[in-house]
Amino acid sequence: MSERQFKVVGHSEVKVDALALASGQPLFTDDVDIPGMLHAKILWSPHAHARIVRIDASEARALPGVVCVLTHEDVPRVMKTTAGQGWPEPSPYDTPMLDSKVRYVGDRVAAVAAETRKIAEEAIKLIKVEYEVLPAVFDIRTADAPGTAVIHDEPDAKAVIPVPYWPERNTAAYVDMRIGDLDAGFADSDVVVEQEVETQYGQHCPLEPHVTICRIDEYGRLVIRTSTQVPFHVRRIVAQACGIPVRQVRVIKPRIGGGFGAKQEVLEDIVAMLCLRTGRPVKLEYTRSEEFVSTRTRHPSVSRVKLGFKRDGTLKALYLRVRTNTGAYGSHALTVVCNAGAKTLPLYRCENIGFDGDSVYTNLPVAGAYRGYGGTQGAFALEVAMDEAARTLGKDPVELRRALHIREGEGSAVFRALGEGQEGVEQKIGSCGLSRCLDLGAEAIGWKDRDSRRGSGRYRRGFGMCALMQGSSIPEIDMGSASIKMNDDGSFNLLMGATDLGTGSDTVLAQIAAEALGTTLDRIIVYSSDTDLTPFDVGAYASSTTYLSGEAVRRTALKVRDQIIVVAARLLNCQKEEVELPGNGTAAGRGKTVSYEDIARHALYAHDQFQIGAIASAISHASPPPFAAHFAEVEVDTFTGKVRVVKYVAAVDCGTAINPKLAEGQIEGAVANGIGYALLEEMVFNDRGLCLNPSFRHYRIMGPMDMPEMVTILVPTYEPTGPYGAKSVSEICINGPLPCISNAIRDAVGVRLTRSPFTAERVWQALQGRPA
Amino acid sequence: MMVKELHRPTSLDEALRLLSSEGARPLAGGTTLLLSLGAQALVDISRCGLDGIEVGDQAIQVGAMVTCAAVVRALRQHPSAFSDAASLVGSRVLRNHVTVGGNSVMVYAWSDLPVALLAMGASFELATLAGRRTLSADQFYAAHPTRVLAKGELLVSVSIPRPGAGEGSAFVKFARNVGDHASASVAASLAMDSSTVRSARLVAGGVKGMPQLLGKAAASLVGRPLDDAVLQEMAELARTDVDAIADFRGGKDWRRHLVGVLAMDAVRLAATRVRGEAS
Amino acid sequence: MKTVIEVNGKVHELDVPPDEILLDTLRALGYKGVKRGCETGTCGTCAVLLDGVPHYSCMLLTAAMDGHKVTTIEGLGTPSNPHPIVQAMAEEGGVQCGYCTPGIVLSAKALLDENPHPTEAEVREALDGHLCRCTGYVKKVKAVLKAADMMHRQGGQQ
Repeated sequence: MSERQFKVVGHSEVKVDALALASGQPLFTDDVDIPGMLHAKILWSPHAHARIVRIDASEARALPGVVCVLTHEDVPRVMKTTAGQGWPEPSPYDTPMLDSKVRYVGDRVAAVAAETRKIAEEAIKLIKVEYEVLPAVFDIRTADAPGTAVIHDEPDAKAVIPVPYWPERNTAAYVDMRIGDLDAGFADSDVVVEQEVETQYGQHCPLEPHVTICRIDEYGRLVIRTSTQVPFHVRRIVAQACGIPVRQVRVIKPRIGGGFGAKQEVLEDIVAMLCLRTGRPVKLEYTRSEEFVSTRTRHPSVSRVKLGFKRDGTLKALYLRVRTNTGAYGSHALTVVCNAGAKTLPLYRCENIGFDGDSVYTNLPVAGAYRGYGGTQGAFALEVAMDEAARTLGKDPVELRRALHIREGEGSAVFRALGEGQEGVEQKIGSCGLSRCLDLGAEAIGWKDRDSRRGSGRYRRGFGMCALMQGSSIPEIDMGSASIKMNDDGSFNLLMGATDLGTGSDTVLAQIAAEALGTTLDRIIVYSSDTDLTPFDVGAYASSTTYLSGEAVRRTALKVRDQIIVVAARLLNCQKEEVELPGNGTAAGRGKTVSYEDIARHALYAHDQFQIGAIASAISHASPPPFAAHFAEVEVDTFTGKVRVVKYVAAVDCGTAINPKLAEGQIEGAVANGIGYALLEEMVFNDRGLCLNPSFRHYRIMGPMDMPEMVTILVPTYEPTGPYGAKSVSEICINGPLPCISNAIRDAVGVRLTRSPFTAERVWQALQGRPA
Repeated sequence: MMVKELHRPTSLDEALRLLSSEGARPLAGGTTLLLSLGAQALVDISRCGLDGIEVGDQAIQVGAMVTCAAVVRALRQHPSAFSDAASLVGSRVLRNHVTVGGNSVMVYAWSDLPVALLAMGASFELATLAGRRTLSADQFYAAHPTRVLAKGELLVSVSIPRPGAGEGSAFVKFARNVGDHASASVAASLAMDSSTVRSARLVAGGVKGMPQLLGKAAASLVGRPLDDAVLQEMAELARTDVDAIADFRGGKDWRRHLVGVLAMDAVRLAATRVRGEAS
Repeated sequence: MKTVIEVNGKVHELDVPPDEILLDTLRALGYKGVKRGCETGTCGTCAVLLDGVPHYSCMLLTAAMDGHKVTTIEGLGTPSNPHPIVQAMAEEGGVQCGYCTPGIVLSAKALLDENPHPTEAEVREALDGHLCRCTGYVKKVKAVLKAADMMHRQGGQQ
């Protein structure tokens, strides 16, 4: 695959906001001081499952400094989903702003707005609630069993798209898919491998917790300044929840301190309501423990995979069963479980494929969108089974992947059969560098001579690998748009709905714009994610920003480029077709050159004046997968069970890396997060549904001294449907560490860890031959 | 968090006077207090001359306000269970906050310094307005130090004996990752007669409320060389002897097993210091 | 309670409640580069230099800080005139969401003030106590090493 050379695209330009951020400029939601601002606090449920029999906020309201208290009796009951997804949302409408029932420890009970944070905290304690405690449901395996307490017994919970929704069985989502003849496939197999895995509750831990400031502007409109990945969904859903028209709402996303999916969720409704009721600015800032418990988490899961092979390594049958625990509300329930199959099953060529997925309600924290989004859970199952299969077949795990993986030009029936919630979209692979990823990754870890490096004695080393795919955007469903206008000095304002959560999308998209416009990055002034000023974008999720929003930006820029050429032709006194744009903010023709500044001034002031500018949109018709091969070297302390990742190699095909350093940054951050999830992270609950470790002291994420030697390899390909050949890179690599590390532990000490995190205790127990 | 008054005395006497009133508590590093404050008066003791470290011939005197980071810096040439523990408290930044005084008194299951100080036989100088007293580590940790301290009594310094000939100590800790609280820890203090053990003290931490003396395990070393068989036997005694709780950092069986493993590691490390090898 | 602290060379005469934490005081004074991430002394986004030494401002009572000197990220230059560590962070791709970065820059400064030529392991140790969820620390460590190099060429510290 030849590497195309671009002027701006493909270069590791410094992020447009990097210096400002590193200098501590006041760019985040809470970095403004608004006179008269009130502080909001929420009363959270102490019970996992209970009815609110009586709620008395009179003492709280009487406390000096308290301006407003809201209970379920004070707000309209509008059933909605909090999931930041396109309308109509594929998640059930099971969440009112405040309810007369609580469904997990940490659920909303009431909200207070007061003059100071301290007063708000005091007021919370004064709200008297009488609960009727109900039996609680905690077990993912039995949540749907007959006779179990029903968590969503309200008559007005509903699915708004035609998908299975059985709240009477605590089932928030169900999906199944069959391709070919699974039974015949297994019957025809020489070797059948079955594997069960289980994943835990984990939280995104963005360093900036959720924070929102709402105010009423001078024209009476509700302005929401919030740390969100989905400003346009926030606007729509807050308007819906508060019963006001969308045109009365403006949402602004400033710089945000990470999201990873936690902020693809609309939690702003309660702050908005406090603001509307008081007429004053109101801030709600989650504490870290509230961030853990009362925002969103990853879906815990139990999965079973069954693979049937011929002796020569042909895959005859592939079955995946995934059940997720969506917690107390069904946000992202259907789409995450669908993705567990959609982002894994097409990877290997097979004629007989089956998938069964469901998602159950429990009285535990609400699972939502989290980087990987089902792919993490599914890849764990599949790649561990593939590893066992390789062992049983006597084949090198790398070679087994190489022989089986989908190739350029090929399709998979899974793409059509399994979308995100609804039917998917057929596609053929337009770019696939997986084979090269396997080569380069294997080389970087020293795969060939691993047999000689396992060591003996107390510390044993092992090597594991996995192959991965993900997607780029949700085809036919999600849309992004951009607008560009040209300024006097040849610079451009680039306005896009697309949401930079720290990923650097402002920069990546500006690079695409600069490339298409024929200018340099420093001439692009980026402004994003303001529902009044920037055109629509679904927001940052589904790995869509570079691929989809980037395409919208490219199309917009090309429209503007055409206009530049028209004006240039006038100035150069030549035909449009003779105008060349060398890429440095000039136009040349018939031996002369004009600057973009000349062109802009002419268009704005001189003759036949018009604003050089355009707006364009994009939807995608495919979701071209990025591919990756990950390799891990681990060291197991056989005395304590502790696993240390010594070296981790990620070789990734994301098409064209628009900004290689930023792409590497996505890979490295995702791997770090994935290793933490594989070894360290677990939200732990007592038998009453209380989270015991909602803090960084007790819920451990990877620190700088925990990181292995990290090797990041970008394997360029060119995706014909992506802007300048790009695919996504943001999610895929978080899916690698779980299977890679389980495979490496197996290689090191011969035990298979199937329940994450692979704590030292679990490894030690496995080594003793005891069940984990 | 509610604090009604904060006092900033500039002498120890002034601090002791303030601490003698009802509801007054000393503020050292603050890392425990700030996470669990009720309505009270705080006495900031950072200006009372309690931040000195003196390396004497027999002992190292460490003022109560000395931070763990300062201990690490000052005692690089004097590796021991105490300096090991100080270097493993919390994170690097947190070690600029946590004081020897605070970490010695506010004992939690995961506390590090108390385990080392008990193993090394440190002594604790306490002061009230009425006068001073010195407690041995065994006395100081006979119960939770907050119950051992009299009302208004302040820990002002800790004295850690320096190893004599043939002596050495070490502290090791198992944590899920760097900076985590201990799932288990062990401090070992040895006195050797060439290659046999003259005396030993082993203390386990991280597995239950207060640090635990591993008497049987330590006794098993006396008069014997530190070979693999001896260490295995010692580890097994440590494992069976120690009491452990189960929580999300680990279950009982594994934690007790860890204590055995860490006991071997701590003894081996202490032995290298006896021989004067690498720290 | 009357308290005098110096922040980035500027003397602030304050009257604060005894239980006010330094993080809140600094942000109220306008030093928004000091962030709130956990309020339990674990994430490092609130980190400042107290008399040159990294501390969690969420774990310090302002009233107890009387007479001390505080350095925040605002004391280290501006976007148009950035400190070499800040510049290196930006150039090396060490800044993604940026929320953890000011605290990390300050700890890196404390390191380089004491040890101008650290090894990679020493840089990692100096960043211990800071959490970053975006970068995996890879490019942050590279950036500090690059800054050390830049500062060495510039002939000394800033």
